[in-house]
Amino acid sequence: MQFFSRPVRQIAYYAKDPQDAARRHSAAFGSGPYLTGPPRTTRGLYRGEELEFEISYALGQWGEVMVEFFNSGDPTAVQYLPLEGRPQRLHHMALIVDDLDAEVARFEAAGYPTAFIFTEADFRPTFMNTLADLGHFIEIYRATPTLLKNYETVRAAAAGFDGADPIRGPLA
Amino acid sequence: MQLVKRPIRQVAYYTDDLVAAARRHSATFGSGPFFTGEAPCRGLYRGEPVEFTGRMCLGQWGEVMVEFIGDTGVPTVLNELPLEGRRERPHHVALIVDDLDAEIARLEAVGYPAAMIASINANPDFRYAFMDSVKELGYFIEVYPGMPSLLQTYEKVRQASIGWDGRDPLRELSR
Repeated sequence: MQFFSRPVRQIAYYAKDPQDAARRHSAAFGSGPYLTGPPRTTRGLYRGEELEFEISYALGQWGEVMVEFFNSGDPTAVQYLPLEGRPQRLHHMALIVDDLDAEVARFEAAGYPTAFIFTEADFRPTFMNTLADLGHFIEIYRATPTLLKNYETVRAAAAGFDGADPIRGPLA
Repeated sequence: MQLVKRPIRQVAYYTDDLVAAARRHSATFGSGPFFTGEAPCRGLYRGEPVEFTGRMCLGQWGEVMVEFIGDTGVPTVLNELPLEGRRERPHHVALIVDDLDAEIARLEAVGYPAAMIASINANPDFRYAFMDSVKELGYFIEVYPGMPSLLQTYEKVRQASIGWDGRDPLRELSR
């Protein structure tokens, strides 16, 4: 019996310019193509307070995991992991779970408090503060059909990708 | 158009306590079991000859390997990035390639110069390189050739994870 499993599904970077970082990652490592989310306003919860901020992203496949580059005015992302002059930095790794509330409780019990919640998406991306141990956040999201379709769309786009047109249109 | 595909095969963290870090990771993510090992190595670190013993702990985390690396005691690329009060920090991601020298040249052309090129004393044909992508990515890129000994280690770690019930989370790599 497998005792339990939370495989890493995504590696994500906070980037000054997500599309530029994605283009460079694709050229260096063959990741992509990247499906993009142009800048838009979204909402989140930070320590019980609702925040509105802008977010943009680029999502691609890198081997067996998804890679994401994103930029946001989310103060928690910027404040905890400043770029310090770099064009990007590792921000989080993501897990997909069936029971989000139970998983958040499990992390909190392990000493990893909730840092931030994106409240608009039905898969409710929730960031757990694992910085003192891992040096990056862990993102947890619920395995909704929307989320799984996003993952499948990104993976399917990578099949046969030859490097042409590495930055593509919106994900949805 | 020619695209060079280099899938990520491993994520690695530098830590001040290999065993504690591996146990914590296993308890949090179900990764493992973890295999500990040591490898006396020699090579060139930022142009200077260096001899050191690499200490590592390897486990499977979903589709990638996760590695914890420990302090080498002498300055090497392995202990170059400071922990800054944390218990561990991202150190590198690893790629497996066919031709190590060609890959070193390719990554140098991308803008990631070689920080350390070394080999394992017990298996001098096995050379590996750490490319300095720290200014851009915040960590190194490790590249090594897909030699049988390396592929066997990857396979051993992966096989041990299949159906693992959580017992004996720490094992010795050489056994």
